[in-house]
Amino acid sequence: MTTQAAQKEQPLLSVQNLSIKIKMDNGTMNAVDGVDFEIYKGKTLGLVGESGCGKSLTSRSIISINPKECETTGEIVYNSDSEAWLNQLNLLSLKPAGKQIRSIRGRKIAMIFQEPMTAFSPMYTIGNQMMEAIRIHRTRNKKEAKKIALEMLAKVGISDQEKRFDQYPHEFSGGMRQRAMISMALSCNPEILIADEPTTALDVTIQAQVLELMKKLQSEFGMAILLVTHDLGIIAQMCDEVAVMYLGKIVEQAPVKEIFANPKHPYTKGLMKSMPRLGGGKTKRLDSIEGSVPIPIDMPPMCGFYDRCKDRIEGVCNMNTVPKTRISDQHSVRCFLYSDQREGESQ
Amino acid sequence: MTAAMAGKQLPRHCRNKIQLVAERNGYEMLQYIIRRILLVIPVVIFISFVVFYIIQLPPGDYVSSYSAKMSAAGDVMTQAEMDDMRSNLGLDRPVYEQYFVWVKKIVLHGDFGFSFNYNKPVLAVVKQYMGLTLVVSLVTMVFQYLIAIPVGIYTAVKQYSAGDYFFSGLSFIGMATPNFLLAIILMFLSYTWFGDPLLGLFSNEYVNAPWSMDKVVDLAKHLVIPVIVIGLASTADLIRVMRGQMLDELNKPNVVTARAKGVSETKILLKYPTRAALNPIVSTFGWSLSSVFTGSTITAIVLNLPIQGPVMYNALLGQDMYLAGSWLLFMALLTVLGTLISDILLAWLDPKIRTEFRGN
Repeated sequence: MTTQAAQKEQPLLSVQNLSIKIKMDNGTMNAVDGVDFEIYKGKTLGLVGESGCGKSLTSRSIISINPKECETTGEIVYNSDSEAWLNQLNLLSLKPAGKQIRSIRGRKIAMIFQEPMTAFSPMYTIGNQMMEAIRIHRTRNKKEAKKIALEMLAKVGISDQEKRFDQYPHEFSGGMRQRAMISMALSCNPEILIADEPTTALDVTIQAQVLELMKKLQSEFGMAILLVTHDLGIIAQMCDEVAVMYLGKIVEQAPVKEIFANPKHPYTKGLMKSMPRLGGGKTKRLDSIEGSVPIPIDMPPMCGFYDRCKDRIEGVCNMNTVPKTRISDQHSVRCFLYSDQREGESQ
Repeated sequence: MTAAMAGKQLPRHCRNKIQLVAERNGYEMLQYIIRRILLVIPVVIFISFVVFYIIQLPPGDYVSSYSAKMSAAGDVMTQAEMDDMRSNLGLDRPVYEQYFVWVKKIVLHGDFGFSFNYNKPVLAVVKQYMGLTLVVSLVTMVFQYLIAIPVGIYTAVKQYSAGDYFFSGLSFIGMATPNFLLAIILMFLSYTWFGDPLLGLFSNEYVNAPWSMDKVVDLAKHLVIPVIVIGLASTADLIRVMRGQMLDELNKPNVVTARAKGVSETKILLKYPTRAALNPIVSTFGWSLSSVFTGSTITAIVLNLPIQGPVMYNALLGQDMYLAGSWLLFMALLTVLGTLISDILLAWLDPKIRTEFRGN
């Protein structure tokens, strides 16, 4: 299996015990709480979860672009062999707006966003905004930068690039905008691409095209992708490994086939059941997960999914912090239902 | 690349860009401007009508207010004398006839009528005060934008900091302080600190002197208080607008995108939020042009400034109808013109608006 080979090699990026606290008027919110994951070269890790579970904060903390109110702790170790100073570098130790992290942003770790209309500024041409990154990281020469930008536009399937280059975002269609966004992100050959809900704002047909494009470019450029989404269909199509997030914690993590075939955590199971399936029958309604997500302010030590969980064990799940349990080499879960199966590495 | 090379190349690039924009937008822009100017004509005709009607509204006319003044001085006018004066001035004719005579003279001879108060043609009165009025107004506007835009940016970036509270507090006080009070306070301070209340726009020795460097310096000194007094309220207002806009723009996803590209914070700030936040400031340019003119009346009276405001005020009081009417007409024209300027600026600033009128 491919992931077994990956297990032996060094991760390109390793997130360890990442926590993000946000100070609010009524207390401190533990938006992200002890998240660990690894990203490998050429592989795609999917970060899945519902709105507000902290997946965007987690992905953005990698390049330190979260708002100032976020207090981030833990380690994000970048391990690139391309430059000496990038070897075993803890990205969180860099100054948030400093020169060093800025030379990594866009060049080594690039990002694409959910809403390509608002992610581009309406005031400048697509070309202007694409050239910005290229001229910071690749070449000062404007002509050369334009050449690179035009090549990238061609790569993402935008025709008539010369004309498109001088157009404004509002003259692009949604799908075209996201293509331009991808070409902008990839214009500096990043090693890691963070895609924060890249297709959520697009039509389903365009979604498929954009995802195909991302896959194609991944095999061409060999970058790693961290794909943040709430859509399990996209996960199934794109990812090698999946981390399911709930209320700031990764509740289950496994290779993509394993998680679809053998989901363990009640939340993951619920997600699977809420997904339409071929041959599921017309009359059967889709399952939904009852209840809503609690707000993680001053939470007692308990499982965040307790209130909504069908398999909860009273006196256990609502009294203790849930440890991580390893089901197999690559499959881990945070749930008391499995904590006796193997020795859990509690934190 | 060496700095010298970069320096040489920069202007050429800029020129190329301007050319490109001009080629793409020049024709449509010209069409748009011409269309807008043509639209001004019916607006001005309508305004002239309304203006003349309003001037006629108060009871009595110039003759009755003149005779009241005379009788206060002990010189009683007979009815015959008054009728005689009316027919001399053309005030005995119907309103619409007066209106058409007025408009005809404006269109055919550029003659805006006669000021009874000054015993001079209206145009001569306007000319006498126009130069200094423009100086005061334009300096005030420049002052407003030069202060409001940077302070607005600062208070938004440093939201809830001591500096933000200081400037926000100051701008609320600025909005709430009556002009005349501030004028008196500043005059008093200037008198106690420098021994000169800086009344008027010139010191005595320069009032009738020909223009010289010294006179300009003297004018500049005298402009400080009027500019602060006239400009403070709208500066405060602009600071609030700019701050609010910036706060909106600072949280926009395009700022995060730029940050994710590795652009430095200063460059992000100037390129994305500031540029976008300027739109509403620019679109209110039209009104602020005329509000600077009218807003200065009370200040001008208190500070004894030889500008249009008090002249207009006296014309209204004395029912000096042609002077007042011409002045009102001029103000209206200024508003229309200001709106036109801000629309053109907006189209130049905002690519979306540009596309809109290209599509028409």
